[in-house]
Amino acid sequence: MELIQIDPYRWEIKKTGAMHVPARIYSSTALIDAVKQEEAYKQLVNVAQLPGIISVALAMPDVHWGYGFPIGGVAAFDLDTGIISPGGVGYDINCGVRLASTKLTLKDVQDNLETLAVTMQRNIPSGVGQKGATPLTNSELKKVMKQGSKWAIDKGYGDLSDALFTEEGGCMPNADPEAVSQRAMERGRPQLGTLGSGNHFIEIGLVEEIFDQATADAFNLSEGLVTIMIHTGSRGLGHQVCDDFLAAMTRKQSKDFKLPDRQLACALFRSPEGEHYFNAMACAANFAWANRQVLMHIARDVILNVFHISPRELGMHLVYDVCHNIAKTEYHIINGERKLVCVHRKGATRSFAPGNTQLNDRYKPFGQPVLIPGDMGTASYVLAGTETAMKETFGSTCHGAGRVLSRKAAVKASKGRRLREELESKGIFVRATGKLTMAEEMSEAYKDVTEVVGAAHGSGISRKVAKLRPIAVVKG
Amino acid sequence: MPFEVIEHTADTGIRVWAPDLPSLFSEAARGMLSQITELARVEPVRERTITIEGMDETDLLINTLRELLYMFNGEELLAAALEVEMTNGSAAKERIGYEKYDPRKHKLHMDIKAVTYAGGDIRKIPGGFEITVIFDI
Repeated sequence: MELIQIDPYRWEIKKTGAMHVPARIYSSTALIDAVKQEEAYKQLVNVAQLPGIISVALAMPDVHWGYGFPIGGVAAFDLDTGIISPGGVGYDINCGVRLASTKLTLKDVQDNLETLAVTMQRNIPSGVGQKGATPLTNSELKKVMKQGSKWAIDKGYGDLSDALFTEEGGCMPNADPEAVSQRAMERGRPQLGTLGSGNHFIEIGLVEEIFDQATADAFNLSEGLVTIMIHTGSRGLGHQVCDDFLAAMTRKQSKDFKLPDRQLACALFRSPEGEHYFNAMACAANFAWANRQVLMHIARDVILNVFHISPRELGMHLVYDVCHNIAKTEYHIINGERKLVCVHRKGATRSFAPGNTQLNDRYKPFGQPVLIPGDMGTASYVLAGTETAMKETFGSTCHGAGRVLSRKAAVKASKGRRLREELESKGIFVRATGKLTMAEEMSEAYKDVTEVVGAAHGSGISRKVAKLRPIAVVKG
Repeated sequence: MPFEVIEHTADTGIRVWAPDLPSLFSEAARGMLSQITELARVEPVRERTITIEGMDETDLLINTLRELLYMFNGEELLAAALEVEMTNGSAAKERIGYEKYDPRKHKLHMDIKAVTYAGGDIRKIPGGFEITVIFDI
């Protein structure tokens, strides 16, 4: 198994042995060594062996070792002969990112950034075992799972237009609450409107640099203006859905296919198990959209209160909301023909090109906004989808920086350092709920997001639009 | 201690060893629970018996840990100890001592979100068995 460099941003593994298709990794000379060391590419080779995989198994520039599928993995499957895999979506179903722009500038906020971080942390339930204000009833939760963003908007969390600025309109229509276990529902009921722990966050940022003015204008992003970014997903509900179906498919697996890794457990897309998983996954995805919709609204209220301003003065607009752990049926051109296929994106973001019918009229001339969070001390990026992504990666690109240090190693490496003060001296006010979160999430624990974004831009699977710099961060 | 914590780039795990399979299950349970909380402070004031199904011993062990994790994540019950009464390769009957999670009494360490198969299968070693279990956190 050899990684062959094709050009400055592409590496390939030839189809050998049990592989049905070759594998391709989007990377750079600076990033590829870590890929080789970590053996994430071996997981990509496993993915290439799954039934019904189309064209090529793909890894995005932030690829790293995951369960079964690598994180940063993308694969499309034939609907009739192919599979759907919970491991190809990930535990945190529809983990994703939402970005809003405002009319505020640094001058408006700089004297109160610490208060903002503290108040935000107090008002947004985060950290281990935290719950939302009131647990949902089962019937209300079922509505959330059916309706996604719309449920939250109808309840007054956000604007009517928000759904237009959300991938899939904030709702996968195949959601079927009957496919979701009682256990998954129990875990979900108290967690709507909670951030969670670990790498989930709310980040107040500034637009620091614009790479493409016309697109940035369409996305409502101007240099020097304050942004709000939220990174979270479907919480315990998504985890339980994933786990329930992994367990069930593992049991059935031994009879159906021979797989190189238990964690790749899957079912034919057109089978009762495949269909149930797809419909339960959609429920968790919709829960995640409702969750981010609610959280963004709480964050907005906190900002209004801390700075004593009106919604008009804040001038908040949802830029976009993307999911980066999902399986979807989408039309793509396969061997010259337009075909509906099941695309798995695990730690990968949709990157639809200009003109795509899935985009709203405002974004159609520019391509879909792609939101790439970095670590809390560096930067985040806004990119746009491209035709190259449509041709090569089933309309997909990277999703973030990716860890390089384990949490334990990060804690060890941070010994003796005053991380909070270090960040404050750089003008970033961070509040974390977990005792060790600050150390676990330090910049050095992550790959350089600029390098990852550079490879995504350089290879053409998305293009840079704007760079954001964090100024206040709340971590779980 | 018959288990050790192992490092993993994005997550965490334990390596567990024991002279026989029933004690491997008990030690794996202890290993996972002690990542979640200070296990010494959890008392088995209540007890329940469960039946776990799986395709082989590894699947049974993973499914056992899944059950304990759900007790905490879904029911707010912290297990103190687990004992295997019977296992036949595709089902296991187990007794769990537990108590209700009390935030004043039980300090939480880590938010384990799922038990994965990523650590591989149960291995036969001289004098017993071992398994590595990786947790999604």
